[in-house]
Amino acid sequence: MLLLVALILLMGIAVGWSIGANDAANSLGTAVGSKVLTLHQAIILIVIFGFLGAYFQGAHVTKTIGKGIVPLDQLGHPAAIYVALVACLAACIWVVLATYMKMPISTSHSIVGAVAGAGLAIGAPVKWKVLFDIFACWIFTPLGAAVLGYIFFIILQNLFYRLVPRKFIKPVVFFLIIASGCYVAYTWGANDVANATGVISGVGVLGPKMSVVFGGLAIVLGIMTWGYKVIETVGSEITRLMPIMALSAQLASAVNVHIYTVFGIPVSTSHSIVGAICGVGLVRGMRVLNFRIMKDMILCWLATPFISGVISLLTLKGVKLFIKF
Amino acid sequence: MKETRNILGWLGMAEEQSILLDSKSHVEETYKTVTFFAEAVQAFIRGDLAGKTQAIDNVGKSEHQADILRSKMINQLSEGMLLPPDREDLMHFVKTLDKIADWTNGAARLLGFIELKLPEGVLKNISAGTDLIVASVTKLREAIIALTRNELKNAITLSAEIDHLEHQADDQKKAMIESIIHAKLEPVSLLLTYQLAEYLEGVTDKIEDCADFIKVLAIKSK
Repeated sequence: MLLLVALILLMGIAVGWSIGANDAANSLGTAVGSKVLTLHQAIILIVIFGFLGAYFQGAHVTKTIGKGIVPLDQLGHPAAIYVALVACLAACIWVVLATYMKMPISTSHSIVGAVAGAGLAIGAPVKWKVLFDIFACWIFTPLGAAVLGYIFFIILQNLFYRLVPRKFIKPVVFFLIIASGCYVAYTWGANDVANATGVISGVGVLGPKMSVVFGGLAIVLGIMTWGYKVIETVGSEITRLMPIMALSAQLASAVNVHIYTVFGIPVSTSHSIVGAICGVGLVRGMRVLNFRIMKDMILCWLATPFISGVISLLTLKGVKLFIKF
Repeated sequence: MKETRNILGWLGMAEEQSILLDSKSHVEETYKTVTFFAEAVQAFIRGDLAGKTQAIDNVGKSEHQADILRSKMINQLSEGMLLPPDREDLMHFVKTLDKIADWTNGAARLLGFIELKLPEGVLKNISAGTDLIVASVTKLREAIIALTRNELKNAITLSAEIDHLEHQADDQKKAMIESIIHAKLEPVSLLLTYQLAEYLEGVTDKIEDCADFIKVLAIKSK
């Protein structure tokens, strides 16, 4: 049993590390790219606000992943631990495979699919209503962010160019870019920490508060060991948004994710930021969107929960052949 | 970075792949331009003036199509919200790719001005120079396809073969100029044929430049 607990904690660290390493760039990458912040300043802010988000509001989504999809707390200990371990393992396997195949996938989608798959494998009562609600929210995540991005950009553009004196525009926008980036980091920590530790909390290995601290620290580890490289590349070589566009996209994404977080819905912060960027871009017209790329991206988004679910289901069925629980 | 699953990084990589896929269409059009030019050369050697004119006309049309594709790619590289990480290299790659069709069109125009039958030795060298261009552009097409399929080693090997063909084209140019000198051509034909020799070698130079960018992109993708 101790070994299983150690393994599940290790899996939690791995998922948290992966989130920190890959997704830290979504919050302040643009600020680094536009030289509003140095890389070190950005890292410090992401670490602080990501951790604060996990600590103060991480419990909402943690509860959904830990108990809302499959009631892990009601399964009895050996079974619940195996479900949690296999779900984490399956999500990790799919994230690693997808990364190797250069596919853009979401850890949130992966872990939700994996928990449901593991639950099905042992005949646990999967809460289909909750799953359906989560799926619906996944569809609305990029769409809602796009609508918010479009609206925010139009409002902010008019606000700044009509009301704010020219000499104040630049400092005010830069300050707001940093503030909105911190808000993105906060909502990211609050929503994504559950991917790392939702099942750990669900099986009672760690208490709710302790699990978000644990997950938050794993995310911080990811940011500090690998995340900075991604921030540097994304910020300096890929994103090329006008400051007001970046501000609108960040604000839209953060508000969007925050709403889902409050309701305890695990959503992809990456999908939210992409949706917001598209929404802001649409103000310029449809030509900024590359539909060939968007089609590939949507296919990956749709496939993720099903593939991780199948991996999880087959793995746990396989485990059951050798171990009785 | 190439292995990241960060969505913004992925979008940049996807944009790069999208440009490379478009460059596949562009090199197909360039290949057609070169093939039409080879047809024009063969028609000229046979003394089939109508065939030569038709093939030269086709070179012009094909080069125009290549121009349209180039504009599309340049727009894509400069207008998107999220750009590929190696956009400067890609921009140079696209421009160099287009120069192949431009120079082939230039060679075809010169060929169109040559009306008198040239001596056998000169014709043989023009034919050999054209064959080298066709061989180089065929390799270039294969290298770009390899790059889009992420077969990086193959793309680099094919680019090295293009370098080798370019050295052969340099020697071929020397041989052609020798044959022009010994042919004792009248002034207009001499001028046009010499310019044609420059252009034939120029096309293989542009193909080699393009192959160099393929190497750069392949090495950066590793």
